[in-house]
Amino acid sequence: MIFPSRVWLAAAIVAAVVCAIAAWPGQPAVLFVAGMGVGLFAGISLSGRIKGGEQVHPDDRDAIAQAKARAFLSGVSQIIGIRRRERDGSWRWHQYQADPSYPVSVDVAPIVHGPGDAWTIASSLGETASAVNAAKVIENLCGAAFAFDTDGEFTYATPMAQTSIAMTLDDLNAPLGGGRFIEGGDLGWKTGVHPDDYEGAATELRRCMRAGEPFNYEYRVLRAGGNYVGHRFAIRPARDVNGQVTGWYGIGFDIDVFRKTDDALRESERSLRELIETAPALIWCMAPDGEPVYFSRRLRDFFGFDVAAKDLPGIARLECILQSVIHPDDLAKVRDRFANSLRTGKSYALTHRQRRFDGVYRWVETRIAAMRGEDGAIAQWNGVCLDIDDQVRAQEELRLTQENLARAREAASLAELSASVAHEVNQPLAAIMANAQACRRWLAAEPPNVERAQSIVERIAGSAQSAADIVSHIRALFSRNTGPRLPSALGELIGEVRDLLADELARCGVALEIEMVRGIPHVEIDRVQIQQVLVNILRNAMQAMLTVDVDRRELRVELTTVPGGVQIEVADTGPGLSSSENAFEPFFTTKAEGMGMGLAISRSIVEAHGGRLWVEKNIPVGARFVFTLPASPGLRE
Amino acid sequence: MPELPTVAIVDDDEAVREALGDLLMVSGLTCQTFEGAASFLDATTKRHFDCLITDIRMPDMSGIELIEHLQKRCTDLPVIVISSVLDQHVRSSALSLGVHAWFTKPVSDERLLGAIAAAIANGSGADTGQ
Repeated sequence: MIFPSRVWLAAAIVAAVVCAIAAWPGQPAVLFVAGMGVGLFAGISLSGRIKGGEQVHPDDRDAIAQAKARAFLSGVSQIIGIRRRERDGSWRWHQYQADPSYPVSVDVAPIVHGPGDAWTIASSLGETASAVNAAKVIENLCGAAFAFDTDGEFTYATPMAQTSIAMTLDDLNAPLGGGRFIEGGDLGWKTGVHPDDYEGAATELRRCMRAGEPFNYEYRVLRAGGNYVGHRFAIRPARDVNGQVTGWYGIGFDIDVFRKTDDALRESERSLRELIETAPALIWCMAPDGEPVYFSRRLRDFFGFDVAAKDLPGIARLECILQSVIHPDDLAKVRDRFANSLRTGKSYALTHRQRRFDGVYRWVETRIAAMRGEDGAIAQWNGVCLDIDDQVRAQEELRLTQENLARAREAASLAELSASVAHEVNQPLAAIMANAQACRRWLAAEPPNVERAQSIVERIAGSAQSAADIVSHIRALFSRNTGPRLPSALGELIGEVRDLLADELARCGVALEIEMVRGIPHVEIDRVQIQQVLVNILRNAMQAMLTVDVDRRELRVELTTVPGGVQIEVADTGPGLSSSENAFEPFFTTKAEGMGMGLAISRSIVEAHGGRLWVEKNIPVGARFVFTLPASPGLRE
Repeated sequence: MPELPTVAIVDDDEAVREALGDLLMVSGLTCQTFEGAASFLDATTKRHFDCLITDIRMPDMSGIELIEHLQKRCTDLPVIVISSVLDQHVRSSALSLGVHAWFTKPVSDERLLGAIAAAIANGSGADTGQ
């Protein structure tokens, strides 16, 4: 059978564009289209539908076995033509596709072996009988193999090998000039090799043949479909009992899918690496024991050195790096967190200062997390560092500004407070002074007015007493840390305050109503200070109500629980406050008497206890002062 | 016989009012005390005063407001301030309003009486408490 192979191939392709409707037992009719003209079958393959083989032509069973072996070894699906028995007993060509039994991640077109493609066997094996035997063993395992004699003339090629490249033995051996292959001549198989690869492959093969050495070489083979596909060839000598080479056998592996997989992996790794290298963060990786193994480009740029640059003999690399980049004040903290994570496998996030290549320490936020393998063991540590220096500095500036503002405000309110104090104290002093002077004049008069002088002395004593009262009042209000904070029952305390103010309440004609629920938790307070706050608020309320009718003066204290603590409300029926926040400014007062400092100090006492004090409108009239205090755990009234 | 000069005292603190009143009385001055600017202004419609002694920090209407009020009425009533306010701005604004004298509490009787005498004698010997 000698065909000019290319011509034959074209004819075979045309002939093989087969449309057949095959219906088989128990199955609906299957549309079956062979599109060999483009090297592809559209439609449904018969993969896996061969049962027991009794339906398949005996001559084609080897082809199925070989196709399966090739698909498995190469990872490329193989499509072959096989004959199946029809219901009427006749044989009919069908396509059979053998797929690799594992998923292939890259897209590879299947290899098509046309049904009935031509292949030939040699009329004589000559001396190559044992090489051919070896080839047949390989064929059994791998689905394709070949053998040639010591001149380079093919004596055997598996049908699969022949049909996949559309070359018969005669095509392979067709002399192209130059004599025997081993002596530099070329044979027909040259036309099936990529022109760029042929010389190298042929030269190497001749060298191996002369030296009797194994041939291992990769070159591109022209496939029946018209495309070049990379193959890795392994060719070995067969020897007789004397060690004399009697022939050669070998196999060509389709490495297309491996190449493509490799390229895809390389590309995937490259793009991942690029992602890591260009991500706007400083990224690094450490071995499970904490040894840094990789810095991203940005991190290398930040540090100005690569991962191994700071290695010192006898010291762990992590320690060397930490010592050279972490701010000395943060070093202990960073070291601790690293050690803790390495010991426990837990991730961490930490803000610290880190030295840049130019020696400037920048605030960074570092996070590390363990990457674990399928067995749960730590495969590596990944870390990311974000330069947050600008934010940290902005925050610091904001904090300083706020601090300055608070200090200024404090100074201002201190000035106001001292003015108030001066006013309050100077008032009785002024009276004392004027009285004393008047007294002296009464006594110096002719005759001295002793009676008048005596009554003035009484008044002096009164003013002196009120000056002393003011001083002690101020001292009481300002003594923040005097008493110990003890868990106290507020109901009891309110009762004490009511008793304390009983006379004043009666004098002002105010009815005080106290309302409280059961189970009020105890609060940890300085009793004297909180008493002071209550007295202050109640006095305010009483004085505010002096402007309304006596029968409308109602004062109500309500004690309730709120989440996390207790709340005390003092509601009056006075005229209310026009501006609720002003009320807490140190010099604010609506009263004819009093210092105007009570509410400001009350608020700072409540806030020092962790509570809040504010004022609301009371409905329908009056003001309602409310303050909260955090509960102390456990105790209840 | 000329009437004795009458001095008005405005201070929200009763003890101060009484003490100043006594001091002026023993010094031979007639005086009337008021617990707030409003009641004083009310009284000015009924009678004549020769001098006003007022506090600055008072509820409802402050001493400064009172002085401004008097200015609007174009009265030539001399005003003496006795205050515990140490604020220089308040003091200078009071003086710019034509206050005759400014004393910081407590005040000595000689200086106060001297200022009152000078004020009644029409402006000579102003004491600005410097």
